[in-house]
Amino acid sequence: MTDQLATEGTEALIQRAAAGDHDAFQDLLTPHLAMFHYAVLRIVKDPSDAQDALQEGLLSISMSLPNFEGRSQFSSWAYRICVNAALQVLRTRRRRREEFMEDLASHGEDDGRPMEAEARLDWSTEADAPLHLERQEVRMRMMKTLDLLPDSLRVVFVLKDIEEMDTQEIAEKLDITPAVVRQRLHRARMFLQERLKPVLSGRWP
Amino acid sequence: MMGLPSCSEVESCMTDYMERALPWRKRMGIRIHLLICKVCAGLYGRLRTLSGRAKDLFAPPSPEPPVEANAALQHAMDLIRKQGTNGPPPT
Ligand SMILES: [Zn+2]
Repeated sequence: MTDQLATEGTEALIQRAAAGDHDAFQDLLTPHLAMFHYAVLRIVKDPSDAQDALQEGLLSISMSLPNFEGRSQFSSWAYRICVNAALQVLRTRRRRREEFMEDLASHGEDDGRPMEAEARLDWSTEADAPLHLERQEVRMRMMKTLDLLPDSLRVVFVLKDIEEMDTQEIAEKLDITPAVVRQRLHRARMFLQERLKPVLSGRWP
Repeated sequence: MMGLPSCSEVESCMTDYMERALPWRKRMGIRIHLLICKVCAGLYGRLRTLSGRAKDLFAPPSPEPPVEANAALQHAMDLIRKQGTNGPPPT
């Protein structure tokens, strides 16, 4: 199928879905589901929170679809909605945690969650490990390494380096200053580069 | 000659340097340091690779949506069917 045919197919699905055709809506989303799910999972980390966030995202897409103007690609537009839903879940989670831990909240920056030294996947001590791993497993381990970061650092890294948002936009979304965005980004990058040395030095299948 | 920044100063400023958020003089100091210090240049290379390839490095392990994703879609579809939220409800 050519790209043009695919685009025409998507446009028709969007129109039908926006007019209330539920099967069209499902067909429209299914091809992007894995990508959307992975995007929210990278932000919220917890699989059950990811399911909630994705569900919220899909509902928002459904509600906003009649207003979709087609100025951007449908997938990018919908993807952004899912990312926003994930950020909302994260905010709610943080608020919940703060309510429980109000008197312990003296750490500020890192939501009091340490980068567990004992749980870390230190690839640098097994320098050639990736060579012996299947690509799929390498990806799983990359994800686990990302999960070792506290929420505040992981979210900034994901939004900046994976979702490629600009610093100002991230600052506004997270209600922090651009300088704090860069500071957190730096800590996240330093943490990851230390643990992903073999991958970043090109020793990767 | 103006003093060059130390390795630890360079390390702590590297993201600001990559983001072009430093004043010119500091930026030049770091640029020169990176030309003469292999350790910092190595770190700089890894940070650039990490940042530049993050989208690919942290891409989904599989193109197939996991169970949770399908469950989220099914729940969303149930709600949508119940409430008729996408677009105007069918008449
Ligand atoms: Zn140095």
